[in-house]
Amino acid sequence: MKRFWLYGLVGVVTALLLMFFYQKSVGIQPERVYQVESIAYDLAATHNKLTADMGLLVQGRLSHYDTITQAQMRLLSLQHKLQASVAEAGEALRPELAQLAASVQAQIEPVETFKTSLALYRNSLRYLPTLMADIEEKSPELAGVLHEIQRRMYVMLSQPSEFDQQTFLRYLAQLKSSEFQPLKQHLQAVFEHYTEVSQAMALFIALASDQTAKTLSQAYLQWSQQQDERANLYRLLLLLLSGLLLLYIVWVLWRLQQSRGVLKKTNTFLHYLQKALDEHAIVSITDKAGNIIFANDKFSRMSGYTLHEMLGKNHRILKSGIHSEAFYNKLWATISGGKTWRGVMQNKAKDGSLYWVDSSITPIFNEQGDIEQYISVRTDITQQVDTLARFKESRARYKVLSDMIPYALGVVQRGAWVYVNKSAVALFATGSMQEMLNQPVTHFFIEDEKNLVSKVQQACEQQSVLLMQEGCLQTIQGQKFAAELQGAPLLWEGEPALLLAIHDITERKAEAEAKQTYQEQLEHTQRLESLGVLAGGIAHDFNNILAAIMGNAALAVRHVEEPQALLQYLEKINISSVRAAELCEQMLMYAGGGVMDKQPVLLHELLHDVANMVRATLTNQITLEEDIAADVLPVEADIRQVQQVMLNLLTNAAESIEGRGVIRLKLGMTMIDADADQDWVGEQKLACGQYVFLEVSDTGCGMDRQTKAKIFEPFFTTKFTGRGLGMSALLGIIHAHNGGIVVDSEESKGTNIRVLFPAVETTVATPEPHAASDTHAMLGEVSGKVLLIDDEPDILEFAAAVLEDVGFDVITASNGEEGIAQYQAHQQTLKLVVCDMVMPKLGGIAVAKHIHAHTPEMPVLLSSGYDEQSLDKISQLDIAGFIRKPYMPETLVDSVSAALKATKK
Amino acid sequence: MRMVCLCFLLLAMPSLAFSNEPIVPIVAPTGLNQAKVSLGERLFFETQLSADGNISCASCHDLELGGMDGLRFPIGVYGKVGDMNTPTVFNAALNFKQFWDGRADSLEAQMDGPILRGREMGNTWKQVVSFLRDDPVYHELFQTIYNTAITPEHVRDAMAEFERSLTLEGSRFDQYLQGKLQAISAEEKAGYKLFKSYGCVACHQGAGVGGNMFQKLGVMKAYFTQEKGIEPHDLGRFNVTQNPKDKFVFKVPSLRMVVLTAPYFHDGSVATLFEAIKLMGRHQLGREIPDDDVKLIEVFLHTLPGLYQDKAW
Repeated sequence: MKRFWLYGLVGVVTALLLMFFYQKSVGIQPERVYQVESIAYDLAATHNKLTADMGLLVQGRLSHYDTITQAQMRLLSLQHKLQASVAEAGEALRPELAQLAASVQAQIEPVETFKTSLALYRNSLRYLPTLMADIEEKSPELAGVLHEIQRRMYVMLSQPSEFDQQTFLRYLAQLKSSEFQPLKQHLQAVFEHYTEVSQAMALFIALASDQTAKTLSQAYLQWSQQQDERANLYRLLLLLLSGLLLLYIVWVLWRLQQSRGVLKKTNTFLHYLQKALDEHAIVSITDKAGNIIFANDKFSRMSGYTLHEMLGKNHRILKSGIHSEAFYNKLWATISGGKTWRGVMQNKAKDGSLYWVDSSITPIFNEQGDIEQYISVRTDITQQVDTLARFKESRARYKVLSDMIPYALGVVQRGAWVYVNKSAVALFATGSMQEMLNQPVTHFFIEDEKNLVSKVQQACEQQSVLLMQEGCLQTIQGQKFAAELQGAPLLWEGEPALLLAIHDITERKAEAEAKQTYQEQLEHTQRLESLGVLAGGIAHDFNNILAAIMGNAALAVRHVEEPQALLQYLEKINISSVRAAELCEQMLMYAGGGVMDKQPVLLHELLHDVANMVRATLTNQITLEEDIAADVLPVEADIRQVQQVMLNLLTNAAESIEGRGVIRLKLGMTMIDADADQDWVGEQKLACGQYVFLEVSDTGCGMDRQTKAKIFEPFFTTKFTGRGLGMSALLGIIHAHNGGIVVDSEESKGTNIRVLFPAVETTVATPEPHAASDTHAMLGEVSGKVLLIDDEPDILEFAAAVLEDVGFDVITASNGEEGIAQYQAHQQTLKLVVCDMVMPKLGGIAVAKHIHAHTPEMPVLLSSGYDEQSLDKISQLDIAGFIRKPYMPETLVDSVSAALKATKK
Repeated sequence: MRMVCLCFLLLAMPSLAFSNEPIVPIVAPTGLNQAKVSLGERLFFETQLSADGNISCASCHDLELGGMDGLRFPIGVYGKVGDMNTPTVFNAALNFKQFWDGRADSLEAQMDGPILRGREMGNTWKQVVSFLRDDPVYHELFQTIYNTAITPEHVRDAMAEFERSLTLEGSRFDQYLQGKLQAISAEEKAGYKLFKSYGCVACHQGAGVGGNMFQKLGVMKAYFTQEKGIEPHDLGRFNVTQNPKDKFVFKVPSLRMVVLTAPYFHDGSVATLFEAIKLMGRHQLGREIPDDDVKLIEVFLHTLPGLYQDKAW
């Protein structure tokens, strides 16, 4: 408003200035000057006319005063007119105007006087002749005087400059006579009035109103010229001002245009700002009483009221009831005090639903600085509030959980604890959480656990899961304890951290140890138990055999004189011994293999032979079908043992069928890869690769679950006539061959047994059945010194006898050291060493090594009652052969001969 | 040839002879606004312009009686008697000033006198104007002419315009001056000659036969004496100028309507024209005019009044 008045004032002043300049610039129109000039001229002419008429009147050539009276009136009116014409000159022409006025005004009296006096002068003058004639008539003697008077009158009239009035008056004074009285009177009147007329005329002329008029006119001209100059100046000023004004207007227009542009931009911007605002926020505007005058769509949507419903209403309609009156009062006090109020409040929508808003309410001031409106911008934070509430609840829960959990939990970040729970505090025996937080993490790990610490740090940095680790930690006082910890990555205040769960496992460990001990004890007991069973079985079988042997031996002793009976009894002893050896072999096979002569074998022919062999024993009610693939790869296997496997399976299959039945025999290739099912008996895992499978299925009686579980247990059998070692031996063989076996069976349905052998790529020579060697055929070829080392004196004796019997020169030793001594003694002549593997002090392998160290080409045969583990060790040595105990004399001789033969070659 | 010249001369003589006459024919003012004239006439006769509603301008300046009332002193409102003889309204436009003492410079200025003077119309302009405004006819008339509210200036203007129309042309003497030698008789001519020779024309000259100058009454012989008693109005121009020289100085009255405007002189103290002439000669000319000459002059004076409404008096 003040601005407006200022501009108005400036505008008015400018307008006035413009008008003033314009006025001033107008100058004096030439017409005006001419007019003044003409009036002045007119006045001068009038004056001159009047003067001329006065002259005429004096001369008697004009007889009435109308002209000079009118002229006089005209002079006056012209003077006024002239005055009016030059009125605008004002002060500038005051002297001239005053002069003119004075002269004109002053001329009035002389004119009147002139008229008055001239009338009287003329009358008296006219009367004089008559008067003088009358006097002359009455008094002729006075004629001379009269003539004199006449003469003087003539002089006066014709040569006024010559006339001496004073003399004449003196002369007149002499005329005393009463007759002269009228004459004197009239003469005096003539003189008097003549003077008056002359004076009046002179005065009139002297007043020179024509001059004053002209002077005025000239002064006016000058003045007007000045005015014109001034006017020019003003015109120039006007031009300048107009120019400035124009410039100003142009500038204003330009600015206007600019500001329009800016306004447009601003408006556009504001439009989008409002749009953006409307998109984002709830906006409402109220008047200064708090009644709503505008609300955006979001407001409607949130509150449920239409704009129409809200206009004119106060925000109170949204009161949720949760805030106190004081809260609203404070709000109002803040904004009505001219400040922005920020806060969170809960509002109630039309349908009664509550929502939270984060509000800003700002007062809007008008130009006078008074509050005109309030604008409130709110964002709906109901969700956030809910989330916050839930978060808080969650935090509380988390806290409760964290506090009550018996596990020690701690969050590690950059080597420091950022959070620990109560259990952690208790575990590490720190007095308070803060105390623990003050300590670095490493403080709680013992010196040796640097590896663990670095794992923890790594897991933290890389944000990876730390799997269960065991380690030794210590309390703040340094008390050590075993713990297991695992870690999970998490963000703690935006930065990577690791949540460690630490569990004191001292107890558990102790428990585990105890359990382990107990378990071991249990296993031991079980083993003892099974061993017991085994021993029992073996003892039983051996007892039977021994009984036969002992009995026959006793009988042999008794019938020593009867060679026929003696031979019979010794043969029976031999048979029983063989049986015992077979039993041992089977035991060994169950245990893990025994002597194995592994070579690449093509199984299909072998199977075919075995199948034929078995078929012969079957009844004609049982069919044996063969599905033998011819392209199976060879397997690295001991032929005899594989034969036994096949035989066992087929025999079992046959025995399971009562009456009619079918046995299917299948041989083929299969592949074990990484994700193959591996549920082999014994829970072993087969390596990936090609396998040859043998499958025997029958339609026999099948097995129930319990039976199936036990078939591989030694001495378990369902057969009346079986010992129960078959399947256990089979399992041993298979395991020794790195194969697998799986049994499928269902009661009354049948059984399917699948055996896998790892395939090899090597070519294989046709296996030849192991032929018993002919000892006698070799007798002539072999001889020499042989060293026998065995810690069993009986075996030593027996073996020495056998070899000596054949023709060898035998040296014996009963332990390793002795053996070496003997070797060293007979080093030159020894041809072969047979050494027992298991001996006290120095074992067979060590002896072999020693011997080979000195004489690498010396053939060394090792013998042992054990097998598989020994084989591993043996394979590294250059052993000429391996003899499994118990061995027949033939076996020994064969082995020795073969070894010698080999060396000879 | 000589005859022709003589005849020409004779013919030209009157004009030549009249080329320097002290009296000139009246030329009435031209270009008068007829509407104003008729309004002025209405106003001239409007008695409501006076305080008591009885006196109009025409009451004293009776147009039927030669422009004045024929009384020594006029009678104003409430029967009040004036103190100066009413001059004629006819040819008043020719007077260079109005009133005996010449205090009004114009016809317009003269109007204040009678309207405001207590003895005459005794009114105020306010009342005059309000009367005129309230009167629908006058309102209409004024509105038509002046188009604004009625002011005293308008009243003066209208009335003056009317008075100007009372300038009477066509007198027999004017006709004579204009060449109609037979317009006046020989007696009248003789009277004119005497009027000139005696010197009456010294002051009573011009178109109005006077009315264009001031002159002292009693130049040759004092008119006002202590014995007779000197009234204030006798002081004449002195009352206006306060100049001792102007004592007993009056405006020379126009003689055009003199034969109709008895009684004579400023105070109407001279009943007859004969006597007025005699006194004039004695006091102004310092001569005793013989009766016969006075009669002749009187006869001459009868030729002066112009025609009013084309009617001779």
